[in-house]
Amino acid sequence: MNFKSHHRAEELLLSETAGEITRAESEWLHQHLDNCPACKDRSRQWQPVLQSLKAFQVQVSPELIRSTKQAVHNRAQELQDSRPGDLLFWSAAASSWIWILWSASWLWSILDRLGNSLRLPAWTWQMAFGFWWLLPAVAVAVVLSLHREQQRSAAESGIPFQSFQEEG
Amino acid sequence: MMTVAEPITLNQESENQELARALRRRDTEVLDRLIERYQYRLLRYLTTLTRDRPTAEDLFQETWIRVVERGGQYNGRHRFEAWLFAIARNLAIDRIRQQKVSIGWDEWADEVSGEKSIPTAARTAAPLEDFMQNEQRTHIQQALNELPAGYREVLVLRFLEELALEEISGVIHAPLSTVKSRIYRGLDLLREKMEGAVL
Repeated sequence: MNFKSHHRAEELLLSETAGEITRAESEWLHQHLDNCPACKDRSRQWQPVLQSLKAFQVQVSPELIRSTKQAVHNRAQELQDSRPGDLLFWSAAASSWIWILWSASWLWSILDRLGNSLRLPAWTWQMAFGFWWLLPAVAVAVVLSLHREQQRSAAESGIPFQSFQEEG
Repeated sequence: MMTVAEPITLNQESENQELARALRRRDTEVLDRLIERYQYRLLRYLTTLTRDRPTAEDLFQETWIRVVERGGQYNGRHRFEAWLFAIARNLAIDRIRQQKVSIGWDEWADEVSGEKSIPTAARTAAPLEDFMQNEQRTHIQQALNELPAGYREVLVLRFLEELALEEISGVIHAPLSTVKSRIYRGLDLLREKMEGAVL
């Protein structure tokens, strides 16, 4: 018997307890144990420990399971709800920017003509044009605040947001 | 008794893939089933790791919330339980660091948890047998509690949760050789503790 075979026997003993041993390995192990008192002794010493270990259980209270499921459902719902919010935000941002870019040249000429006909100083209608660029942010803020308000009233009334949306 | 290793079947692999898809879409029905399926194993692991039942219960809930949040990261190529225990372990380590109190992670235990382990399934054993079983469980829990966390953890993962050595290595982020040596040393220490205890 050499050190290597003792080491292999130790490894296989552990594998055997977890059911991860092949037939050939098992045959080798039992042959080794028959001829090696040291390993056989070790195996014998480990057996009661392993049996006791496997008998170790804990009790789980139904309340823990119930509250965990509830917490998991709530979190899943929160994550689900935040998704339409994101989609809404980016859709609102994209559409308002497209609208602004498309309408900018028209607006410039309309404001120019209007300014001239009303004999307004150029900076007044140019400032109005500048404010036009704030509209995307305003539009997105309005859409999002309406969305949040819907969510809040749904949560307060205890109606899931999904059904609230369907009803609305 | 001879046991023969079973290779991971295609069926198991497709089950894992299906599970990964369910976790990605945060399917609450699947999550409920998982919570029920792993309730004993996860709580047992956390209880052994922290040696504190309220902390373990807290972490139990946090682990499942993390599963919901990070469900998309489970790729289905490995067993779900290995991923689950890795999440639980990381949360436990974070908690230990936050609380800055020792719950036996780095040192030998001086105190023994007063918590008694109770069998899970309804049993019809005779009172004396019942008493002996409870005594044995208390005894093993006390012996486990007295082990350093590093040994305690690998023994639980290996012999209670039945993770493969490679999976344990992945969960605790340690080389395979370290896992093996901790198991050998842990078993020897546990045996010494159990033999040394008053019966």
